[in-house]
Amino acid sequence: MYWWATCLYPFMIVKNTELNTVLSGVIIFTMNYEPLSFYLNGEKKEFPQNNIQRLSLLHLLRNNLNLKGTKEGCSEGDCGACTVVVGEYSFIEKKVVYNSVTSCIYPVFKIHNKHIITIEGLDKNGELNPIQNAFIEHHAIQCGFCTPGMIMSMFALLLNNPNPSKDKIEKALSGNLCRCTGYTSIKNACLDVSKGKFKKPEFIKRAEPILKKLAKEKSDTVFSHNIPNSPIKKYILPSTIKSALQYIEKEKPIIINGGTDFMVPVNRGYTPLKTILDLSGIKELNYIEKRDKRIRIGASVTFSRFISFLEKENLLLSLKNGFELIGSAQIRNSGTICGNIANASPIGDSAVILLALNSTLNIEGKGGKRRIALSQFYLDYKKTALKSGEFIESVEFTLPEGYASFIKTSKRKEVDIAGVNSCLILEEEKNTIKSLSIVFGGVAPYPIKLFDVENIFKGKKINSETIRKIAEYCFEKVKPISDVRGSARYRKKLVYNHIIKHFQNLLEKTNE
Amino acid sequence: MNSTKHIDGKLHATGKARFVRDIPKQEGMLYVYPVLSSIAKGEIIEIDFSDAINIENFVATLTYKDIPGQNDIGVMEKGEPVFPEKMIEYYGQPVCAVICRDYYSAIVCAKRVKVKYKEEKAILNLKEAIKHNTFFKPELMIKKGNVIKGFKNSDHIIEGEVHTPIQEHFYMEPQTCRVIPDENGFTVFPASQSPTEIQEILAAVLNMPINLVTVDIKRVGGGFGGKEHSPTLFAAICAIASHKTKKSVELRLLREDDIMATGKRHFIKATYRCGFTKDGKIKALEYNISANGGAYADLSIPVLERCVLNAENCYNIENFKLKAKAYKTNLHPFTAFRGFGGPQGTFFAEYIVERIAKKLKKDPFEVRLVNLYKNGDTTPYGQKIEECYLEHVFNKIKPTYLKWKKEVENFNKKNKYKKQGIGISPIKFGISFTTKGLNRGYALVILYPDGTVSVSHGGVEMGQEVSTRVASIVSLILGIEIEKIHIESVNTKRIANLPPTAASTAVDLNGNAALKASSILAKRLKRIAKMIFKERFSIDAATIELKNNKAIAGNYSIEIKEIINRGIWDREKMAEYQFYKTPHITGFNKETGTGKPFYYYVHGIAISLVETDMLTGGFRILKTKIIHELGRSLNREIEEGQISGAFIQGAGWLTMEEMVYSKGKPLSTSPSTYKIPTIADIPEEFDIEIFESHSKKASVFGTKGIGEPPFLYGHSVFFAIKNSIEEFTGKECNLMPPATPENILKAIEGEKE
Repeated sequence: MYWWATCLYPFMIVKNTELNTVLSGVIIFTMNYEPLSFYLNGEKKEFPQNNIQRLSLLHLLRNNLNLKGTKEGCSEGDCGACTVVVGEYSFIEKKVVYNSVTSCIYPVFKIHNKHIITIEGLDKNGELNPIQNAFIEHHAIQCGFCTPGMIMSMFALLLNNPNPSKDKIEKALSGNLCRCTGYTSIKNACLDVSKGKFKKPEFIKRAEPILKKLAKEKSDTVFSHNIPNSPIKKYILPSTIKSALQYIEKEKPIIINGGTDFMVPVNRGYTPLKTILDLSGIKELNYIEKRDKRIRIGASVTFSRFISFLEKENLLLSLKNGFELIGSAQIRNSGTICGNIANASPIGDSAVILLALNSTLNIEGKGGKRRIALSQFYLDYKKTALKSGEFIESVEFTLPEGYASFIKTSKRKEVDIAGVNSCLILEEEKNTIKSLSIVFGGVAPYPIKLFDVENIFKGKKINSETIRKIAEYCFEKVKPISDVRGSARYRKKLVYNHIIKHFQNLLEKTNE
Repeated sequence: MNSTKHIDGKLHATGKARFVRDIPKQEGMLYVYPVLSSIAKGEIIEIDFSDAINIENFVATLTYKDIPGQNDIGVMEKGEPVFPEKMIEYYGQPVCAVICRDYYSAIVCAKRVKVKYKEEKAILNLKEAIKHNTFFKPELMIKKGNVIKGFKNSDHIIEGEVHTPIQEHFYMEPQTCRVIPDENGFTVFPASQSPTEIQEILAAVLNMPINLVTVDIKRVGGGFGGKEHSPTLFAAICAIASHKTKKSVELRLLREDDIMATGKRHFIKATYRCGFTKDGKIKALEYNISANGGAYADLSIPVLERCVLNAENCYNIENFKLKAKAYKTNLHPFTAFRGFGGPQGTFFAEYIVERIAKKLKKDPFEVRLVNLYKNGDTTPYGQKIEECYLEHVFNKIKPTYLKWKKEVENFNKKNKYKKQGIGISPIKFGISFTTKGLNRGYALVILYPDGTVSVSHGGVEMGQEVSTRVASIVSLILGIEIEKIHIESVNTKRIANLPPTAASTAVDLNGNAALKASSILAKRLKRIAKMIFKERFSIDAATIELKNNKAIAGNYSIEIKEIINRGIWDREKMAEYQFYKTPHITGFNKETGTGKPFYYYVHGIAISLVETDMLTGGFRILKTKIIHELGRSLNREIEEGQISGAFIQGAGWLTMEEMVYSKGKPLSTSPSTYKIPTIADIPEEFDIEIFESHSKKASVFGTKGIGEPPFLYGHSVFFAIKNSIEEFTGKECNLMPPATPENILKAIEGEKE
């Protein structure tokens, strides 16, 4: 129990504050409630949990620690102004990885045992970091409100990859909005600093062995606080599935993992949630397993870790874009694939792909494990087959043979929610259809797989006539609604066109 | 001077630059949050605070009854309340507010206030408003030549309707204000482009003399017009809360409430009739323009004014007739937004020119060329065209255009579902406030005995880098390096009676005032230096140069700080307060529809090449080339930054940015539903060329205003998309902005709106 060694810190921290805080420090200690313990810009910090005033990391930074360099632009993780970097040990990659996160929707309790790096940590002894210099040199600063977040996103990218491509830079920064520059100068600054000008700072390196050690020593942590009007009273970070199940039984909590969704209404002053159970600290859930053609993704695997895995193993490259188009880098760094499935969005990108891959879910609950086909999982709008107290332990699928393609149509290329998205997986034999899997998102209360399509078109020759018939079939089958992202009529039209485009892509591929 | 870096670049890059919310908290500071209406129109029957006052950290409620002075924040036209006493005019209008000890409690508390309404039928779109004929006065009119004759002399006549969409500013820093009570008044820290407007209106709202209200603005996290009038309402709420509680109070809107409740770019519709010859020469153009003005007059009339003053864009039209009205509807107000009506007016003209080219099966580049303004021509409102560089920029870009045209032809032959298109967008944008009296600038330059300089001027820094640019002017004149120059906040006790920082005029007006002030000081420094040279080196310095913090005469030099010291003790004035007014302008006369409203015009041209996916309606900007005319380039990086930023904002407006409403309720109120461009949306190849015309009709050091004009280059992306669709369908399409995938697919199918 590492924190016994540092448990005196709360007293030292509160020394210069009022007496009652010291007393609450004693209470924390005797009740076995840990102080929030983390590294901040290379220095160890302990923060008494009773002093936590709000749920976002951003609030802790700005209001409690008086670090005002991190800005708040939208309070929902979609503009990037509040981006900071979180360093933590990855059990998948077996090293410390650096993730940009939007601190406005990052639950503050998640920083326990991690390294938080903010804009204030980048310059050391008056010397600027090369990214900061590049932004000044290239005039990549206008009103300056987005600048700290922009620099932190670039910092996270370079910590993981000191020589990123133009494409990687765009992917890393597309979650950081800027309304002044038109991005040209920002892009130039980032390209410049990517030419070997960046070195991992010493203070980052120094913290790495400690982060590794802390990750392996994890124990259950329960934070409880009673701040005015807070919708959440207790935050539980269990360290094993077993203890998670016990807490679930006892506390009936809301179960989260990446937590990218639940903070949005909280920041807006809605929804009393009371107790949250956060699965992200459970090592047993943080794995990607590959056996022959079978892939199994644990509940705590984020999009970023899964994309890195696909790139490293050279797998599923034709569908990788589907995972890369989910949210921003910051969201992919926190959000998990299983969380995206459980969230049951009618338009969830990963659900669409995983449905097309005929995935199976492994579900944990007090009654033990059970398996369910993903296609059986969605029952209605935002309704799933998860029973109370259950969570998805993992999702698994077999790597497809043949051709796979994912298309997403949205107003904006990056960081947008689709009007319609679709995935098509096709095996052919002598130019006839051997197997065909088609899934659409955005056309029904949940992503739907068109099961009949395989039966109807199996054995058919792949030609423009067949393609048109498949498109017509899909067009007739779907019954979308109109909303802020598009009208029903438009969505139906897209369904037709997506089929044409999938085959068009296939054709281009075979011609290459 | 061309390599001058952002004056606060280091502060921003290290996170030390302070925005309103970053100013250290005052002891016992409170937070106010408005309660926004949940209907578009109706009567307030009852406000029930009972649930709200029970929450922890609650302090007080705020209603119109707490307003000590006038309940009106209207500027151009009165009748815009802080809190309506009876009638709700738009969804999201602040009804009342709550004050709590912490920000989060205030948000939660505001949600618990229950307002009972008697809902009435609202006017939710322009069509209904036109039917009711409810509009803000006056109607605008411009007339030149005789359109009836013009139509008679035309070979072809086209007519139709075209509109431009609503746009949300999406400045990165949401509306924020801090009010601190003084011993007998208030100091206000708003994120606003209009320090004087806030000072004057708050004085009236608080019922106190103007000299007891101090407004202080160091910087704004993006404005674009969205912080010209919109912040006044929220500053007023914040000030009333401070007045009631006698405490410092902060107000900051959540993003969704910011988008819900604040003004946006006007939706404007034009019906047109255009006659032209078989060569494409326009003989007559007749417009009927209608703007959705929203619930209150706000800045609708001046915006409409600039719209009509730009409705012919770059083209000399002999016979021109225009009528325009801004209609009242039950939507949030519509307000200033970069270009201020200009983007709408010019879009109409370009849309018509594109149609002429289609009709005549001519190259749209050539049709534009045939109609371009030349020196000596006169605009429909009677301003003579002088120093026109349109033909020059057209000829300069022509080789690139022709090269791209070939590439596009080749590509389109080879591809079935992907088509490319080129769009063209020339500009001739007039600079000056069209209200003559606003064209004034102020600067106060103070020299200190250590050789440092303090500069206060009337331009609010909001990312346009007016600070850097004014500092570089002062630096050049005084010979003092820029590191020794500090640009102060705009504080209405140092610099007062200001126009809003707007209309691309901040550097012209305040830079010229700073130039005057520093020139006077430079002259004075040289006089004192001459004396020192004589005393110390026994020379009679005929010419003295101020450079590198020194006064230099031949081989001799003296530190400027020494001269300042000497000046102070010789009882010389080591500070200057100066004023500048734009010469030779008359403003626009709304009665006659004429005037010489602009000191000069900025010229330029953009071409964009896009590739559109005809199956999904998605597009990519492959290339953009811009040639932008400036009298002289003063700071290349800042100018390119303004051009790039404005272009992307303009392209966003006509493509991906779409405000969606349901019964007057804005639905796209967050970055997850209102999409502004990201780094992945900019042209893959982007070339900005600055053409220094050395025009005499330019401003400080021969420069020209640069904030707004490049916004119009975004039009080129829209027309490129439109042309790519027409390449696919083989006929003219009726694509209207925004060119979202949905609208693109509709246009491909030839659907009517």
